[in-house]
Amino acid sequence: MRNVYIFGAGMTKFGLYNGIKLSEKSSHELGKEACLKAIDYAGINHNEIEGAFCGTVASQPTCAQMVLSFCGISGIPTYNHENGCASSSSALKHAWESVAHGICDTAIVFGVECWSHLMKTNGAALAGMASPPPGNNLNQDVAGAFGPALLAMVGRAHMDKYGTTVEQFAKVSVKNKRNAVMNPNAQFRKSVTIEEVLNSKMICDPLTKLQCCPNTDGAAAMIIGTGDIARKHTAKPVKIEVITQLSSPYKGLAGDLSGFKCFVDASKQAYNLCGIGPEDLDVVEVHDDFSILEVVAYEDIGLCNRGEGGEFIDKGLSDYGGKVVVSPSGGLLGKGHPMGATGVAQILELFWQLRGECGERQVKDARVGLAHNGGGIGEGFEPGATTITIVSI
Amino acid sequence: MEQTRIKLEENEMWVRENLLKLPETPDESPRLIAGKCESCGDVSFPQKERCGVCSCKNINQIYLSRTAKIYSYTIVHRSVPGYQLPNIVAMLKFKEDDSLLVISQIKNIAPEDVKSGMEVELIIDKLSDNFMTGKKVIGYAFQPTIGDIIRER
Repeated sequence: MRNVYIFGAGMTKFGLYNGIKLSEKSSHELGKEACLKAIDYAGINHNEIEGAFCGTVASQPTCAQMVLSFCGISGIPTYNHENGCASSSSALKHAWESVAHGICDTAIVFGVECWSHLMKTNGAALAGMASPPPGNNLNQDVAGAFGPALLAMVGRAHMDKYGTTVEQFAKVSVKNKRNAVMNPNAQFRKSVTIEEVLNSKMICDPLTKLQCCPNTDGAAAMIIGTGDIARKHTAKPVKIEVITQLSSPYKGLAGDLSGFKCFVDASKQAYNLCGIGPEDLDVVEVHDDFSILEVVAYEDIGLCNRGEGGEFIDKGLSDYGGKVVVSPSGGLLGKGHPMGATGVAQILELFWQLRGECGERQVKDARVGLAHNGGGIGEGFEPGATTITIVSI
Repeated sequence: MEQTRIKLEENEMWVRENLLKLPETPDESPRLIAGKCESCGDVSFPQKERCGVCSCKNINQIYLSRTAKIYSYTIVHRSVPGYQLPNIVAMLKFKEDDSLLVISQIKNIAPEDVKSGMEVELIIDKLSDNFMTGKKVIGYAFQPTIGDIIRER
């Protein structure tokens, strides 16, 4: 296998684009903006790109081809990946394998979502409630709002088993929304207090509105390639150490809902494959679609022991000056969560952090980063698709 | 309070077919239909065609106990269209297999009275209004087994 590097990055500002708040834009225009930014950032000619890999959930069929036609890219192998909120990280895994195995030397990878208008029409105005029509998902049909309800039950199981508190979950929102203030691409740029988080509207007890990710539109893109090509364009390419991707294992942690076996397994596989451990990480982006998931993620990816996630946030160990900075971009809670774009956007934050380009939210001397991304619902009420990406400089 | 219902009205639909063993006599109670692996004993709901643990092809149909325990729960205050709010949703455990979790609404109890570990029993009840067909969606739900805590919401 050849080493593979990221050397171009671009994203749109995340927000509501479909005539709600910002100017009216389509998924094609958002995707084009991100892709052209990534191409220009890399300083590569668009006709040097040999493969295209797109992640999207709610766009039209062959979204990638539509986006790339605006960028002058056609006549190359092009793939659209749908893996829920882990769609574009799954696309990146496919692209990484293609370059690593010599199928192509340079690839563009992007995620795009422009779906806030859909949420207006189906009546559910909260991203976690993204839901198929009745009859498609038994759990959804039984429970109603399935995403937030499930994470709320994960949180209560964690509270019952380990004594974790609602304040500890709320602190994730306080930290990540504060980080988003420092990110010009973030949807929300307003910090909140723990009281504001706890007193915001109850969605699924104990999850309040400020602990749930918003509806977001946006796109994020990157250029990857072999070492020779990457170094031609930048002195500081970011190496993709490993990407692991799993469907959730049957029954997860065997009836214990206070953690996710898919993330435990995918991160262990990743650490084993690249010889990097959780103690080596400087910066991490987690899938904090709900505050509870970040606390559980600390444990699942081995930043702390099982049951110590609440203490980890309490002591500021996931914050600047702590053990490892988690979600410096603002995470899904602060930066926003355009489902198909989230996976690539997480890794772009790591790319910029490792290159020292993050301004006031820069993590000092960041050399190794990990992205934790999950999508949909699979076996054992765990995410149907789990992706762990480790990058280094 | 209607505990069991067998025949649906014109404006009603089952949430899914083949999930419930309906009572055939007044003495019987409704049960969830599950699968039990002949070789490793793993219990699945809904019933699987192949065992998720050992890949065995021989899955026997069993009926789960009518009672279960609340493992975790949430009070849903905001939902997709068609659900009565607040809606109590719980993850249940059955004595047949501790690794099995079943999600269900909890009916006939005030939200503040729900607790982890509480024993509940299967009932057949309305789950939601299907906003596409306009029909009432009927299926399995659970209510507390302790009589004095049961109340109409």
